[in-house]
Amino acid sequence: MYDLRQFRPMLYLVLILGISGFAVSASTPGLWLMAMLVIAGNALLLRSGRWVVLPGFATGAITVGALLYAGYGFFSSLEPPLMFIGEFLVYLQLVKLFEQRANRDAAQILVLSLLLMVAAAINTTSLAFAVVLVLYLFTALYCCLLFHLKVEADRAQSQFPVPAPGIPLSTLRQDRRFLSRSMRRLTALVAVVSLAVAAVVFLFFPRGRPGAALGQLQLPYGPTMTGFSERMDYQHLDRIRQDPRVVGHVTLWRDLRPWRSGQSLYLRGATYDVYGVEPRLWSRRPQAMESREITAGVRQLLVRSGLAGQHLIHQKISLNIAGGTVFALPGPVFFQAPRDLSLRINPSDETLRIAEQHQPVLEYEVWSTLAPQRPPAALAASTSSGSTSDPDLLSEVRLFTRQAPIVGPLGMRRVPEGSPREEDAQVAKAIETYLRRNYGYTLDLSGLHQATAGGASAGRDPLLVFLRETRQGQCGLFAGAMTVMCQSLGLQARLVVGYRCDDADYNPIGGYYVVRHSHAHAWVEVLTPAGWLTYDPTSDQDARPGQAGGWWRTVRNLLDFFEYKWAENVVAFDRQAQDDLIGAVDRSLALSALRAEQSVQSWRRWFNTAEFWKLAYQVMGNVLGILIGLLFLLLVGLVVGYIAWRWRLWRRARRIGLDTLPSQQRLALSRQLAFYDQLTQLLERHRLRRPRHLTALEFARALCALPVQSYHDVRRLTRIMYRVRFGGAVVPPARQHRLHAAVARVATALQP
Amino acid sequence: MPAPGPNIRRRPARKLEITFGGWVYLGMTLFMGLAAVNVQVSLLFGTFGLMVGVVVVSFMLSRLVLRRLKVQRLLPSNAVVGRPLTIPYEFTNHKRFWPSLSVSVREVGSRAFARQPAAYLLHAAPRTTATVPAQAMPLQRGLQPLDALDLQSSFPFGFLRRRVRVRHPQSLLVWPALARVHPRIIQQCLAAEHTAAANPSVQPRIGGSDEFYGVKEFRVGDNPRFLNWRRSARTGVLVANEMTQVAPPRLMLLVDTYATDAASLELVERAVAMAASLATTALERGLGVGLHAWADSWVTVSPSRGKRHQRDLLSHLACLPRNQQQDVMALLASGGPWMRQQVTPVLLSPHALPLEAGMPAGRRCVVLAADAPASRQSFVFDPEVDFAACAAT
Repeated sequence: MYDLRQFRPMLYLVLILGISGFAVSASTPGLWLMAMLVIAGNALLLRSGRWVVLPGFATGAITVGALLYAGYGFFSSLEPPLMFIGEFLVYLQLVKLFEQRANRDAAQILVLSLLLMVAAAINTTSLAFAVVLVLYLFTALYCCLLFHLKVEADRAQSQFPVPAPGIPLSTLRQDRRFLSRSMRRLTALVAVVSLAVAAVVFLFFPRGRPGAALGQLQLPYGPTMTGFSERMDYQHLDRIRQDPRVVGHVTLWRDLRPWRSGQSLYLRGATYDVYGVEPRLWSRRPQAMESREITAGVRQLLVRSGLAGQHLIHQKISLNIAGGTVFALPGPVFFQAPRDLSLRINPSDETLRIAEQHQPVLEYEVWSTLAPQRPPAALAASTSSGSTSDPDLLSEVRLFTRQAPIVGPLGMRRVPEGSPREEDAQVAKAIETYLRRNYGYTLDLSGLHQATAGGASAGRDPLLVFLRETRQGQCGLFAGAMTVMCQSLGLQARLVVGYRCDDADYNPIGGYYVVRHSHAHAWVEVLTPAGWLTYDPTSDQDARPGQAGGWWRTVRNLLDFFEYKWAENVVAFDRQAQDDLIGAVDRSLALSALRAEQSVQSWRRWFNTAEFWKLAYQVMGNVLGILIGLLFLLLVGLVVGYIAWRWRLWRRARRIGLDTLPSQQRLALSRQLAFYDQLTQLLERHRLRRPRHLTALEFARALCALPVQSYHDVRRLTRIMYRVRFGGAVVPPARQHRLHAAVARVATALQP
Repeated sequence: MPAPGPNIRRRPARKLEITFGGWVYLGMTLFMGLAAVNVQVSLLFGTFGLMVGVVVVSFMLSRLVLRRLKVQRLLPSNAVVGRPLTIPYEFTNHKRFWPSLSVSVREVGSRAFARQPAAYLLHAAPRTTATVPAQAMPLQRGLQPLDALDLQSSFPFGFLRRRVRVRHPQSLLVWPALARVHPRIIQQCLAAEHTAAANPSVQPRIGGSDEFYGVKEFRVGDNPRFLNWRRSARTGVLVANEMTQVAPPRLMLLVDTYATDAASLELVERAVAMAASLATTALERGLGVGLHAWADSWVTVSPSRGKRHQRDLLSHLACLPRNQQQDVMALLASGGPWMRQQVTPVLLSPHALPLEAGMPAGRRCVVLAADAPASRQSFVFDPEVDFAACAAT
């Protein structure tokens, strides 16, 4: 009786959108494909009538199996645990599809789907997911509306049973009229109100620091495979996976104009100059840090002076990673942030770090010179080569370096050394060239892992194994090897980690560089008399030039631009942005009020002048004249219209045969019988004129040649005319419209 | 017949409550808010805001759905105890733009039915009228008052349930239960006619068109088809044939409603129901039926036939009140004039009583006692009929 057929397709759509959103968030196309196949199979079975409910033991077994699988993945993998929880939720929903018995199962599917989307929303903030989330929310709203109606209707049918045979079909059907239109209106209202409240909450709900309410409850997850890490070691040597997720965006200006470098950008994060064999960890010698309190919106000088004539590269950087490292191009001079924070500067390597935990998205601006760092003389003199905990490693590396035709006689320098010498740059360049030409780049470090699994003895150190045996690895091995090789020859070298972007990562639409996890990189800086020069020994990592334009490239840039704006305006919307918004609204309102007051004052002053009154009289005179003219025309028009209307009624009365009646009755009937006049004129146009010896009813009965429906319509209209003419019935305006519509149907039927 | 009353809404009592599902949803919303505050992810704030918006819109829509929604009870002219009654409820949505969905209506405070009638309206578009039926089982005979209706809706999501009470006073006339009467009861009544020594009730009477009775002088207005031309030619005066009509048997139901205790009340109800059943069956057979009973004064309905007369009889029987004043002897005494006429008296009494002393000489009376086993076999009521409930006040 109350079959709301839309509910099941909408439920399936909600399910599909939820799983799709999760797949977008977790980048799991395989899971998505499997889920779609299962859903399609279920739908086909339902449609063909062959679907049967899964028995309880089967669903229990599948659920336990899914739980075990998710648990195994949770404990064995380095993926975020939320992803495995989401996978388990997907499996649960698929099992529920085959277990639908009552309305509560559909409710459970909806709740599971919502939880799945919550898990996905915590994991990702990408624009693509946001689009799917919005579609999902609106679809789920509509589905919940239908679900409520279905539940209530089923409950009513069970509690208030009325035998159907005793009820006319029209009564059963009448409550379905315009149901679709009503549902659309209500869904629109629900969507508009919900969106408005969501916008208000999003903009004005008080923001704070993560973990402020319940502490850091997020489950810890393993480090990203390719990506920046503040811990530089060779402990986890295994097959590394590229992570294409966006970390941040960098916009450059030079001399106040947008700037595209055309070369690789090296965003320095942290430096390491001491390599410990046990554990295989890079570290930094203790150095004095300087603190700066950065005031929101104020540009502050950092470390350099004497910048006359130097072009500064202005960088606006937004990053979406945890940690306190601040990335910037070499030679930072000024720093500015949109909110107050404490900045710590290492003057020896010009690396920057913020003291407190920041919001998920950190935005700041840095002005850099791009020039190599020139350390103070005292600091340069006191800097000695990096010392490892195992001198044997250095001597082994030195032996390797001198034996191999790498640096030639330049490598036979005496150790320890003093201040940097002119040939240090040549030595470093030779080492860089040697590594680039003779070693290969790979992310598969399983061979290295097996070779070094025996222990961290000097002979099995990963760097030595890399140099002597495997001869292939990732950028950390290349940079670490070069650093150790330089140090073994008495050069001052340090390993630098950060991000490297090429021209291929530049988005011309948004005018920024896209920084991804896969752009995390390690390179080397060597101290020379010209300063700390940058060397990148990693092979197969030549700078990728900007790609030629094409429609697909343009589309990708456009999508990435939307993603950037989404991250900038929505994802990065924090407490500071909220305060700025409220302040901007407040200032705007105050300014508007001030302007309005000024405007009122100026008008008031003008009102008091004689010129105004003179103009006013003149205008009033003109306006009055126009008004009187219009009034006169209106009056004339009304009179003419009234006369025309009366004349039309009189003519109609004459045609219908009402002219013998008193005037008042004639007019009233003439207004009521407009539909009959229209009908008679229509029939006359088709040469069907009523003979004088036939009454209207007899004439209507005689029109057997008309189409069947038109014949019945004409007879019905004639009977209505009789009721009005002779029975004193009154036709309300709404019915008049329907009668005219009936005449229009007759006209349509009579058309050739 | 009771006329439909106006749809009066005088300060309808409104009530708003949160359902179990609503509490669950509020809990989920709170959880989402805490998660958003803790994680500080913008998307979660947006989702939290959306969930709060859903609560706000639930509040708005629950009010909107019941606003300007008129409901009218379309009562039939009468009902019968023990037989399902379909009561249509007409919902008129006077709103210009917004529909009304998922509204249930329930009778309030009516004791006339085994279960309060309730109906469910799925959808009423703006400026339309929808009728939804509800089924009820009347318990008691008589003029049953229906006072108020409860409208409630938990649209759109089932989180909030809003209830509005609307006064809509009406009355429903419920006839007594009608049983299947065994044919021997009718035969018994007819046999009583024929046993009288002088039984004019079966004699033909003039004024019909059945058989030739005699001739009479033709008067203006008589049927000219009955003119007897031969006799008129012979006598020189226009004469017409006079024909007979067979007078059908007529029953006079004497209903004894005297009762002094609860057990007797139940039997009185059974007796009244038996009278209604007998009257209906007899009228369907073409017999004339009359009624004589005490209803705070002596009520007498002359024997007649036809559907209208049947409705009148049943209405009178439905409205018979409790009688603690006039017993069966008084009933017989007051029905004396009818006893002497050409009718067959049928006494329906709660108990079997000897009545020869009360009967006029030569008159036989058919006595049907409610407590007699033979009556229970002759009058078969529907299983849903509960005379104890009928007797309850």
